[in-house]
Amino acid sequence: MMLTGIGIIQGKMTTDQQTTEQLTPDMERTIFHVDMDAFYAAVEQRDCPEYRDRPVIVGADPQGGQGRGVVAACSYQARKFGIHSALPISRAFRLCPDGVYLRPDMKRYVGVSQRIREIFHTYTDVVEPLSIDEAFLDMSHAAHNTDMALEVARSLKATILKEQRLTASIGIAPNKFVAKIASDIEKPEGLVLVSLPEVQSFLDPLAISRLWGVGPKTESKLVKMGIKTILQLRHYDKEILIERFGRLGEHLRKLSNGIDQRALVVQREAKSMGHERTFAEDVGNIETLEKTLKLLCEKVSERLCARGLAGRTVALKLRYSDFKTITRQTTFPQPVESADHIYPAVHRLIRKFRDPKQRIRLVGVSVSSLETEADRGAQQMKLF
Amino acid sequence: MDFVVKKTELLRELQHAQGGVERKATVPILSNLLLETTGNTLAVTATDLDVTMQCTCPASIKASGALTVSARKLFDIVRLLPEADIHFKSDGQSWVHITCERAKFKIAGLSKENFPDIPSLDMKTMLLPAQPLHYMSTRCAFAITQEESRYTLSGALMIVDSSKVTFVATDGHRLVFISHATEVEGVESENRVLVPKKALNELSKLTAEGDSTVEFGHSENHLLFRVGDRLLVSRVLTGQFPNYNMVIPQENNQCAVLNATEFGAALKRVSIMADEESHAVRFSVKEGQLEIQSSGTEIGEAKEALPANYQGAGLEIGFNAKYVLDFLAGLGSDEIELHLRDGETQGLFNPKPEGDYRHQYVLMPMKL
Repeated sequence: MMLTGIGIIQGKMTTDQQTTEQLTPDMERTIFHVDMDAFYAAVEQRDCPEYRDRPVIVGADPQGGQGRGVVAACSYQARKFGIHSALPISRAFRLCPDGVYLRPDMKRYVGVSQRIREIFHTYTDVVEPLSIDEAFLDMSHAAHNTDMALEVARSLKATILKEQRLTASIGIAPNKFVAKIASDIEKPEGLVLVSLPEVQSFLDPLAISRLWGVGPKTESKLVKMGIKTILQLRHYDKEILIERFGRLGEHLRKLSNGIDQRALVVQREAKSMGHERTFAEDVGNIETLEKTLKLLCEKVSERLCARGLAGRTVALKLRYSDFKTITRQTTFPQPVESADHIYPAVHRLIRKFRDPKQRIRLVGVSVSSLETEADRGAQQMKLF
Repeated sequence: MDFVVKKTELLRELQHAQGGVERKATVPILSNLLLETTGNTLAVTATDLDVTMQCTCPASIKASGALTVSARKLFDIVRLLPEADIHFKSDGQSWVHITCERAKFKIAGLSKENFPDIPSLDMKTMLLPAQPLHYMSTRCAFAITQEESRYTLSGALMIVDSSKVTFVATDGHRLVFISHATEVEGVESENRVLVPKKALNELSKLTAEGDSTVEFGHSENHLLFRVGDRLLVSRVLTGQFPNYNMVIPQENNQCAVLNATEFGAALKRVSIMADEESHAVRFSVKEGQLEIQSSGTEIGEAKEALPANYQGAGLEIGFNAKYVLDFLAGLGSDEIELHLRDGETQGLFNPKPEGDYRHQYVLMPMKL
């Protein structure tokens, strides 16, 4: 575990009084970020002993290096070869042709994920699942000091290991954003606690890419401005930041000062539901695209129906062979869930917006503005 | 162009012609009225390219001619002029001088050249009784869809055969069927046309003034209604109107007889507390009564039971109160039969027949 040296008290800006007020650090909270280590690959290794100690890559079919699609997850043994998630599967195959390449078995992973979530709930009611393999837990009530927090975290890790034979890394901090960074610092099997007085000294040396909201584009802009670390960002002129980045600038300044007051979102409901398909070969033929889209609409519809959801916005996503990606959407007056309603809308969109001169690499369909039947209240039935 | 008309006569025609003017004014000339003199009449024409209205009024003409002027301005001027003769005089093609007693106006005119021609009126026509057309067009217009995407429902189906005239309108949730038994001369086969909503509304206005007959004709692309000296020409809506017979329920064996006035009043009261988006209310019929109930969200609820002649088994069904009230608003009859089958089959509202009319309203329930 990492214990950052003598805590520099949080960085208060001294330039103006108002900012000082705004940048007062969080109230004392104890937030855990629990991140399962190499989740899909770990599940595979757990369930199949011969995969243990081997580089396991879960993702698209590599097809002997010709495959398309990307790595969804890989074991730590695979990471030694330079493989990481979101890497094109063909690159992964070139890096490690002898790896164990597996297609994801989402049903199994979801099942495991649910059981882990049940374990979380034995520790606290305030759980915010971020994805299938990570979650925030608000442990403020149970862990009033750092010793207690560490003890609870060790116990949680032990329970997960005992009941699911899987390892997790936990970051503990006064807020979500710092906890998430902390869980990543000593992966796998990490446990890092950043207490309130340590937040600033913990953040300061980190690269700005650690900040939520800093993608490659923002990063390169910041680097051009001479900002590489969080410390540099924190000391940068506020006015210029806000002038160049607007609201993002404000947000980044807060984060760089260790401030993130977002509460946990306990029941995060799906905001949209979608399916995508990357073609084995880029497609120019409209009939093939239509056939695929129809299938995707049916899949989306099935999932919507299974959850009792319907949505008013239907979106079509097209990625051309040059990776240029467009998304076009249409909105219905009433929420829809059946493929009979979704597909005609998608069909109109592709007819209207597709550039027929270009071949298509990926198509996707999604439905958003989701409502449950209860949200929708009384429903007018139709004559025609 | 130089003529004199009586204010009251011109105003009356302008009121009718206004209905034909393009409301969105995307093409400037369509916001204008065409004024044209022939013999001793002034013809006033408005069009939005879909619907054309032409009205005439007597005028004493010193110099004939034709010119277009802003419909809105002309109407506002004439409306506020004293009850007297109005003198119109144009100098060339660009200005019209309007004089009435001490008031003098000069308004810009546009040449007739750019005004669309009236579609060809070369079609076989038949004479229909005016009053029933008024009765029926007025009572079906509300059910026409507002959704632009449902093109073929954006008008009413009009069917004329030798023994009756029928109108059907629907928005996909509800349907009005209204038919008048009458002998129509000069009709050999069934005439089915889709009358656009705007044309139907104009027809309803044109037939409100007590003329006895309407000359009706249709060609492949156009419909014509001539009422007295006023002419309404409309583009026909094309497309397949749904098979309305299929949705008029035949086996709704549970029948409650209601007093329409009491029913409407109770429903209006109860609907105050209905959900503001869905307007959903619950009808529960049981022996001798109909109970209407609304339970909104946090705001509260309302309930009212009214006597009904009903003998069947207890039954519950949800309706959009607004849809029921739309129908009741135009009703002439004071007794109404509500035919139901179960909570999921469309309800059938049959007002007690008035004269030679057959009037039915089909309404799909709501899932509550």
